[in-house]
Amino acid sequence: MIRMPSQVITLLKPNIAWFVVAVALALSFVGVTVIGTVSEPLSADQSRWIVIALLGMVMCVLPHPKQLGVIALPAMIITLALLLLLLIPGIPTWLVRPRNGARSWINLIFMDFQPAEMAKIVFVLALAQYLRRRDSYRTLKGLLVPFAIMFIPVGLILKQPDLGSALLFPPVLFCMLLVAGAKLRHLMALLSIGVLVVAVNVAIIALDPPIISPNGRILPHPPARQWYHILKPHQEARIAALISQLKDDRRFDQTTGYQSNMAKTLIGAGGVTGMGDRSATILRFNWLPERHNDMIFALIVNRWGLIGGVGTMFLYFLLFYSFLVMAARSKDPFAKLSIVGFASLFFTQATINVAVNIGLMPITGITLPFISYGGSSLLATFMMVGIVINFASRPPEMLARPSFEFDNREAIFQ
Amino acid sequence: MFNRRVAESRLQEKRTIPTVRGRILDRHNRVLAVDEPSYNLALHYDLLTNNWVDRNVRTVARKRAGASWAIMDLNQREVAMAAAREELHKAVEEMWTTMAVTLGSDRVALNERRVKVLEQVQQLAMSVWMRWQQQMSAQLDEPLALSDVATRVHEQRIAHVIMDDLDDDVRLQLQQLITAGRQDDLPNPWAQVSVVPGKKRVYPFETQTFVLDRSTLPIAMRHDTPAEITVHGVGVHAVGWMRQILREELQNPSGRWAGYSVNERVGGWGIERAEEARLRGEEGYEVLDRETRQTRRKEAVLGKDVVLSVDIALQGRIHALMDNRSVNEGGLGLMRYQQWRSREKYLEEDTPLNGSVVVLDVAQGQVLAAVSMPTITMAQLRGEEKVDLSDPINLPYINRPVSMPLIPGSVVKPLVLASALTERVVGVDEHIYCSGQYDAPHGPRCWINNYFNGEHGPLDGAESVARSCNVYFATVAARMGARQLVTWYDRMNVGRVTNSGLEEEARGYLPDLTQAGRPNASGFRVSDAVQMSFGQGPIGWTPLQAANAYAALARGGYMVTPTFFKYADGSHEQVMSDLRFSDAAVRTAMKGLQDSVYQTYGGGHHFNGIDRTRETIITFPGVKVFAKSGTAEAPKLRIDGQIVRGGDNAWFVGMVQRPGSSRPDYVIVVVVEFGGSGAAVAGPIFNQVLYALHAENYL
Repeated sequence: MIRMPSQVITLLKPNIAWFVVAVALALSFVGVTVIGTVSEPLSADQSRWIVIALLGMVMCVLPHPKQLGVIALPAMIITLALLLLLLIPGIPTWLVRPRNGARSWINLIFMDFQPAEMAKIVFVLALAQYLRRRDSYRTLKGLLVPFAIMFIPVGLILKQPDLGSALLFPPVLFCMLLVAGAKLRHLMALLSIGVLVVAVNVAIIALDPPIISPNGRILPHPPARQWYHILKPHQEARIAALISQLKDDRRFDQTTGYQSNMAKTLIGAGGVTGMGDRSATILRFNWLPERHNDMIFALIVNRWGLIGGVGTMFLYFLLFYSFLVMAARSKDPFAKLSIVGFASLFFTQATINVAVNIGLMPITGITLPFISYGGSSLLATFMMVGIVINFASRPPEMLARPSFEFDNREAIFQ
Repeated sequence: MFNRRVAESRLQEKRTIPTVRGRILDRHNRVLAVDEPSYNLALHYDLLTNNWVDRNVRTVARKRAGASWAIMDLNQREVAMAAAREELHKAVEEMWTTMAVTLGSDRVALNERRVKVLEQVQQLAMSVWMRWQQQMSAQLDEPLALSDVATRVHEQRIAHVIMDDLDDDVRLQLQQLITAGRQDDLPNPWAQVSVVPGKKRVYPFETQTFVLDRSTLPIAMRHDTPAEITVHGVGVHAVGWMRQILREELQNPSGRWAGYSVNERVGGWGIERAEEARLRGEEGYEVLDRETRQTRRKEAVLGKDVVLSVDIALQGRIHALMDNRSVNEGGLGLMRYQQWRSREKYLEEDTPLNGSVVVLDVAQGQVLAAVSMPTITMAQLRGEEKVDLSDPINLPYINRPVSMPLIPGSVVKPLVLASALTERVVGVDEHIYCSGQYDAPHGPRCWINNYFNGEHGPLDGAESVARSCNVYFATVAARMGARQLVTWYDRMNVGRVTNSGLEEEARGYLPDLTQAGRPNASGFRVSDAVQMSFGQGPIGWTPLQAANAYAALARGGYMVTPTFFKYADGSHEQVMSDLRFSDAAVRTAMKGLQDSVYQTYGGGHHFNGIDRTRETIITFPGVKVFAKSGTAEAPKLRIDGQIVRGGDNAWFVGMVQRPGSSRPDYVIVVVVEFGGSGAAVAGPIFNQVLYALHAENYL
């Protein structure tokens, strides 16, 4: 009789991993369907990528968590090397070809590979691996290393530039540190600084907005006032357009604020129940840039209405909730931290994307996980799901160290 | 569901159904302006600038490279793109050559059209950019360079017509080339070319030819054989012309151009402009719902015709008389400067003169002809012939009969006499003694004193008009006072537009009756009144205002709004007012005018010709003429401090009465700027206008 590995036995029993896969597939199905509204070929492409992504997920289910922990650091180094490769001047353009001015893709002939997607996975694993073995991050000074782990890839990604991907890292770090047991007051202090920086920048833009010519050209600020404008002019223009639109000022509707305005129009047009099959025609004549990527949520609401939008968000909530349940059940600190990392990554990504679509945040270029069109992003997303299932499918190890019960530490040793 | 409506509105494809602009007809229903369908050749701006090549280089290079494009590095791509650029330039060159051959034109001519369109668009873009620059510099509180705001304006993103009115076979050939170009998988310049339906406004009577008898001209120009004169630009000032509406003008939603679309042609001048609302009609539209494929349609409303009071044949005939080409170039010579007709020598001999003629129908106040010289032709407006529209000396675009107020000189005297007699400041039979100077030694001199150091002696009203005595009128005006005299001028519509129907009408000059701060109780000095009594000083009127005032005198004191329209309706209503001239006043003024023409002492009777022989001014037989000449000292025209024109404006204003009529039938006003003597310069033209009226069956 063949002895089945305990992991397979665990997986075959009804368990939460099934549920996670089902939700992920449901979200992917929403994606394929809504991409099909605007382009059948892209939808077929996306379906093929789902199959590949599922294979990637299975590959990530198999290795033992310990092995994942072991390879986390080398993988991080390789990823950083790839991120560096993107930025090396003189690298042949057939290998690294800038798209819209961003050096984010490596040409693998059969596909374009985006190292930033890989960075998201290995960052979570490497950080989890680092945090499981230490408790130095309970001091302010000890937070330096985790922040360094974040800032190195973030810095390289920002250099591409890919602000959208870079924005996802700080919330993930924050959540993982919180779960790992870093002091709340330290985190709150850092968070306050972050909020303050954002608020000051928004205030600067609101008080001294960039001048946008009638044709949408953004003019530089006069030299005397340039020193306090930290953001790039096009970034400031997006925020200025957002502020204007929130005040119902329609000046930028045809230029800088076009994408945001069109997304809101399509969302509003969807109403409660959506436009159904009419959506395809409506979308053909209401051109929304990046509609199958960053702006796909607007398409979902246009097609299925408020019900569809809330339903999609509910699926994300289920996914997030399932991840948290798995994290809570996990006794392995590495697994627990990784699951929290991935959960926070999905949560942040979905939240920012929806906020951008409904016009609460400026356009940042963040995709909607599982739904937006794109092979390497879909593959990375399912690989994260695979890793999470991997962790959840392991029977608890008896000799595992009690995780992060710092408050009782003294009591244990008394 | 505001957003749903917004999103759904984009499913509607709206196509306008063009209307046909109304015609402009003359009083005999001859068509002066009409829309004819045409096809125009348009090229996208990028193709005109060659930006099209740059925009397509990458696409062509990529298509040519196929799958290997993905593994090419930047240098290899540059090489591929250079080859593509050369290929595209060649394609564009071939397109221009083929186009020139198809159009039966040549590359040089086509290139000129191309450059002209580019210049126009760049000029427009420049003005837009300069406005943005100004606005944004103010906003930023920092000076901005033009390059900071220079982004493509709308006109730099659309196709522009470079050739209009294509023949049918040329159009078909071009359409085949365009269709082939559009089916090409690779970018093809022909795909950026289009044949667009258009309309051309045709002015059939703009060019006319007349055979004119020269045997009745002054001796200096007289000839036994008639002259055949072809004139261009007949009636163009009055009928007007079309122009392209500017995008800038459309930006005011409540402005005059609300509801107009970019590139629409609108009335730019004259009746075309004044009657835009009536002529334009209303475009219809067809809305296709791209979802249901259903259409909704609103039919176009055709523009209405406008019938003018002008007789285009009479207008053309007078235009030919006024043609200021030299005799050698085919003109009559009436509108050339000749020193024997002038007392001052500011101009070179044979310089072309400017001026105007108005013929007004007394009974109805309708303008039969209004000729402005120099004229402007449609070919010049289309840019086919060169003309300096901003020429500050000749001002060719000005419609002189209604837009150029001039010092009237002595032609006001019969009107002043009628006013003074009505006010009883002077008796009908009262004689005033002319000693050659009014209020000697400093007052104004009479012309008889100026020229001959003489005097008129005692004169009554009629004789003073006929002899054009300044002292008589200075005395009468001093009795009236400036305020009363200005009041009379004001009643005669001097200083106010006549509402004849053209927007270009000028008000003329007259002191403001409410003007304060001037010495003496009446508000004006007596010297103002004295000057104005013989048409000098602070007064200026247009030829149409002069005709209107004389017509009132001919009607016994009834002023009627002069009009360019045959039918008085809605917007062109004519208003009548009574000046309340006394019968004796009208009778005396008319006698003065008649004596001026028929008594040998009259100022309108004769002039001394080139060899000092006496030449009778009015030679046209069988009608009664009442007229007055005027030689008005005009302010010198200076440009950059240099006197470029000086001397006297020559006026000859009068009425003509057909046999059997109880009062005059037509008023004729002739004025020649800086021409010299009213009698010698304007008088012969007046006489020729009578022949023209006869030739067109008015006399």
